[in-house]
Amino acid sequence: MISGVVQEDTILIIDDDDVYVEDIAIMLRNKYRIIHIKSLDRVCETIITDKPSIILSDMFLGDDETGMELFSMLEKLDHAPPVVMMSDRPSVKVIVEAMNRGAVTFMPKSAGVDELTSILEQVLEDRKS
Amino acid sequence: MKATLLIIDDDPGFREDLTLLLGSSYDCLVAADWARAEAILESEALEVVLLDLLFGDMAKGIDYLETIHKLDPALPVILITEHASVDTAVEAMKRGAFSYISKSTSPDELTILIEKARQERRLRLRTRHLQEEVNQDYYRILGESPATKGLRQKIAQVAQSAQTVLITGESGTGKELVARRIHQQSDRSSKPFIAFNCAAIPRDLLENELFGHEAGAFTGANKRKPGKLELAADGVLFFDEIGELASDAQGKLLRVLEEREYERVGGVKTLQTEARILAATNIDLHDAMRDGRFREDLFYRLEMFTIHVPPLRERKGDITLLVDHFLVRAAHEMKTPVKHFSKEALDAFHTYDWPGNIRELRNAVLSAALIATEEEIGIRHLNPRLVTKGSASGSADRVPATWAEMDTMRQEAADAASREVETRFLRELLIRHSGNISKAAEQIGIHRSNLHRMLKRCGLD
Repeated sequence: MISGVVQEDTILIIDDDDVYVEDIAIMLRNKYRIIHIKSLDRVCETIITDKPSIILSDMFLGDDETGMELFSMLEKLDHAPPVVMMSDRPSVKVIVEAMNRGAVTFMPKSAGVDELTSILEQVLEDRKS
Repeated sequence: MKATLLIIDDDPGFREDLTLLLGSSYDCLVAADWARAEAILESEALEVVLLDLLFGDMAKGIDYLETIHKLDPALPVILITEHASVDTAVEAMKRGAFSYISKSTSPDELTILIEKARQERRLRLRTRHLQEEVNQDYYRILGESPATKGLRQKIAQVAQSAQTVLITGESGTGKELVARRIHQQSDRSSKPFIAFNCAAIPRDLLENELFGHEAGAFTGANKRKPGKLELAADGVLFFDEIGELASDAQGKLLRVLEEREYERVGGVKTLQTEARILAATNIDLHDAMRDGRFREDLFYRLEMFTIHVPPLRERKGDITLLVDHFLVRAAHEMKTPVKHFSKEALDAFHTYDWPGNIRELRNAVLSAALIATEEEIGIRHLNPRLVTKGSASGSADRVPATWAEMDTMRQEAADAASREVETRFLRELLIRHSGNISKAAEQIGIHRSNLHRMLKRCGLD
């Protein structure tokens, strides 16, 4: 709470699509610190060391990993950051499942920078209150 | 016994389909409008609700979702719609729907979903039950010292009766907690507990607050208003700081205790009360009685059963346990991991005299937990008041032998004193701004970097 540096929120992006991540990283770089991992391998370690304020994760990672496994991993942590799930082919079924498992909201990957920022700001605000 | 479902939909065809489909496994109640739905929600023991999103006006279903949760927070609601869309799915889930499906969902899938929802409901009820247990714990008297054990014993001894109890003890020792514990352990625990602070209410309003008034009793009294005694009904009325009760009211309270009778202000009808009276004081009522400020007959009536709550300095063995308890609470409130105190800090807690008793201890723990950024809370995070008393008294007792020594000591003392004032100021400032330095600096009108320097100097960085 009391430290010399200006508090900048860190966003952890979990996605195997480099092009998409590069795209949104450019949009968000001015406002947030961005950390990017491509799989769930080291997700807990990354959360503990980098203390992200939000996780932005794709529903589908690689061929055999689904983003849903993320929630079982987060259960092991005392204070897991809120998760925003995203997908480039959203369906009602996956949204319902993701949000039942604990995602705070869902975002289609087609969302523009305005929508993305407003979702992130809203989640950050809810987290602080 | 079959589980009961409620289907809320204004489309008769779909209601019929669902009832037919689910009727063999569940008792299906149906509502075609909200009034009917509400009546069922209030009277029936439901396990799952199926709610049409487009029920009534456009997308009204989502608003009803919240109303249903207000009536029964544990009841899972499945939203159903003609065409489930991605946008409304997010919205529905955020508002707390258990699931969101389209009307074309297959019967098998629907049954699986309803069973999942029932499971969820059991889980929610269990969580709520655990939460209630935790809340009940709230009025626990913590501590294993002989003084505290004795206190618990006395509470248990008197709780079950209807006996009036006088609770004495210094400020901050937890007299109200004792009163609430008595209430909780009595057979009146489900009845009201009404607290009445005799010192906080202006003299001329006191009787009005306590006994209520009739319409027209005085200018502005256009409605009859029940007093605290009436609100307490057959529960408990707790008089805090009874020593401050005005003398007219003392006489009326005595009548309540002896005859169980009173009148509302401006009223002629005599009313009866079943309320149990508990009272607390931090002043010596003997003194007040000798000075003529407290009625003798009332005093003897109250002090028949007296519980004395010991000051914290007489139960120092409980400090570690209490500190742990407050640390867990602080972590819970701030949503952070549970912190702990360094050995030196805990030692300081044991050396200090705690004139403000448990209230002071609680505030000290909460503010230190808020200020410390590390998991371990050190002595530098404590309010200097808690630390200096023991250690500084050593140098304060030392008598300087020469002028030069006196001069050095004088300088040291002045520095220490001004540092202490500074630290106290900064500590409060940080607490007020939840540790946000930029905001704190802005408020006192200095630059952030200067504030940083000051914090560092006082060991608060």
